[in-house]
Amino acid sequence: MRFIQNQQRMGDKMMNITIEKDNLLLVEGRDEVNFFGAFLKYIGVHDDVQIIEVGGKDNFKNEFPALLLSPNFSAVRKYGIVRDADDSADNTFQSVIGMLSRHNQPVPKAPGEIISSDDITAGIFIMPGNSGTGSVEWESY
Amino acid sequence: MIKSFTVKGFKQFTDLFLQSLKPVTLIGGRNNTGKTTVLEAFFMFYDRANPEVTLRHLSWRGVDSTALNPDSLWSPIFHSYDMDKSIEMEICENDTKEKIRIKHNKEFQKSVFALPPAKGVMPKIETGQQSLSMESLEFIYHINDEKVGESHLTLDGHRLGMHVENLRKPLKKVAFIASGTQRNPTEDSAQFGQLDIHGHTDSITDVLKIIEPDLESLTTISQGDHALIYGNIGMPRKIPVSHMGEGTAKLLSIILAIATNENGMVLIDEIENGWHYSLLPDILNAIHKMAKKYNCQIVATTHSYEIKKSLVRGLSSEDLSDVTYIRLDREKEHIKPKIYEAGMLVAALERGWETR
Repeated sequence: MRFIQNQQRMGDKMMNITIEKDNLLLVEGRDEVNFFGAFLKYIGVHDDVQIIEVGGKDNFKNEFPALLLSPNFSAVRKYGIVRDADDSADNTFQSVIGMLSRHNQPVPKAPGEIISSDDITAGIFIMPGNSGTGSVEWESY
Repeated sequence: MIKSFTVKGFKQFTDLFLQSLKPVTLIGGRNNTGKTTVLEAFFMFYDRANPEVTLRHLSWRGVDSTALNPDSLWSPIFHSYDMDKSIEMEICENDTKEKIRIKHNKEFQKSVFALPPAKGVMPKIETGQQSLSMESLEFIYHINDEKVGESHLTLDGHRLGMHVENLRKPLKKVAFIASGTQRNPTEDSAQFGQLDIHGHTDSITDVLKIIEPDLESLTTISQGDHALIYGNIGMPRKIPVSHMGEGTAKLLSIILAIATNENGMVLIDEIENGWHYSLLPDILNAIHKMAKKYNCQIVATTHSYEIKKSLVRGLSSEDLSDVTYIRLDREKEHIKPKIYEAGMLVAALERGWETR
């Protein structure tokens, strides 16, 4: 089965993306889509996980709630959120758990922890490591 | 502006709570999730002391006639057609909570008392007071938990009646623009005439120019019992607006409804019908501006992805904060609203995520 990637937006041509798998990996941008696409394929799980771009620091606050409202989101069982640490891993983590809490999602206590509530499981992963600063783009080189 | 609307026991809705309502609220969702029903509920809330209150939704849906009995006339508005339950609707606006409760009353008693005695005659005491016992649909109104009025819709043989007690005028005027091509040209004409008297018609012509760029002016022309709005599009003679195409006539009806319901509400069913997608951004921007000018709240239903894209294209970021999109989802036996604030709608559209 071919690995599913997000369609690139070309001017006004919009492909309507729908959630098609039970497991999602939510990443910031194209570099992450490429990196994790290759990584998941390498470890053999790319058939079971759909990678979706949800933006970073500025856009996540609108994109994540909008994704939660997608018609097929109710079928999702597990998702991981991957964010760049940017200036502070801890601040990024806090802002993501704030968002999860506001939308009645499971709230991990620490980056890397997987937690479930009401039939859904979530985890937050801060790149490059779970502390410090940086971003995936550097790691890709 | 109405901020939230709760509907219980009305048609498909067991308990629907719509919040984050804005100056422009778009309602989407699959067929049968109740999009049009939301509009019908809003309209019924403000449709007071009108014996035809339960018939309007039938005519908007193209039902021409119905049997004259409580079951045919009234049960369609109850959830599962069950008249043993009651319907409740509540609107929150600023600090005011307005509520209406609709119940089927199997024995509505309206007593008729003896007349006062004629002069010089000993007063007579009537032992058997006449009373009229019939079925009714009772409407009880509350503002901030205080009862402010009630009315009873009755069916006496073949006559619909309304018995009213202490009913105040509704706090808002509301217009409903149905999705079909039915227009009432004489009514449009009368509304246009009123606006013309007060010099408000230039803005209307400007809006119609979006669809009909050659339009120079509009006039009401009376023809016996009827009146029609005619437009000058540079031809040797003026022509009725309805001859300019359905899209033009529809836009005119919407704009007239907004301009004549200041501080009120205009409900539009299937807003996308009749307009080419390329004109939508400008049309929606014009409707928003008009609604803002007359402080008129818009609630519109849509099936269309283009409408949402066009809103985002046609309105500035600042104006977009006046918009909410609510998608109604059917989850098992209940209808649940999924609310997209402006930022979320823009994000979803830009990402190409399904929102309909």
